[in-house]
Amino acid sequence: MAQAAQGDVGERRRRVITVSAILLVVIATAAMSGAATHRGPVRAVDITRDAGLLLLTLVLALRATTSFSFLKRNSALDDELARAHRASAARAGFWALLVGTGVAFIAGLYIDLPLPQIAPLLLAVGASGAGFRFAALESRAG
Amino acid sequence: MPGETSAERGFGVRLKEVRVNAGLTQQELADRIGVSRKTINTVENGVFIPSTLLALRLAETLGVKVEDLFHLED
Repeated sequence: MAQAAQGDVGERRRRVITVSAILLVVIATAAMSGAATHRGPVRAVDITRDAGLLLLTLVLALRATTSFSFLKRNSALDDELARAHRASAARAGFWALLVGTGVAFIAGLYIDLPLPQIAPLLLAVGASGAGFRFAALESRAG
Repeated sequence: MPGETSAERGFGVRLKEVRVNAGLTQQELADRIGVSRKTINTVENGVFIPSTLLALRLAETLGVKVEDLFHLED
């Protein structure tokens, strides 16, 4: 029973990270679109969306690349395979962010690309890149 | 190197054979060592190269030498 529960927790972690990464991309796209079209004072809906984006980015980055948890840690789910997957996920997130920032920099030379418009996408690229990589490695592990 | 998560050429694994001979499932072996079943699965498939510590624990738990579980292939 406990063995099945451990497997369930591992699978749930993988699914939560995958869904969070997809959700982050969707919210970041909405934030980018909102920043591009909205003119005038900041609205409550924009603040809420951007706060959600930042919170989800932080949670996803922590879940995919560290063993941080408010609850008691399950040592079997924090073994050396999980640590190797997290290290690989952190590298993937780093490179996604680096390449994304480079592309944004080059694009910014040719088109108007204000920071409030591109920052949500860069956040999403970095955190989602790490999340997708971790989920893919966990899935491959069987 | 330990912690690698992709198949390494020249690294041979006999863990599955020894585990099955010992009458253990992947989950049972994982529980005895304190790792996840996925770790045992990836080590058996040569996807994950374990650390020296984990290799020693596997060997000790299965009552064999490390060389009986892992070897270098030509």
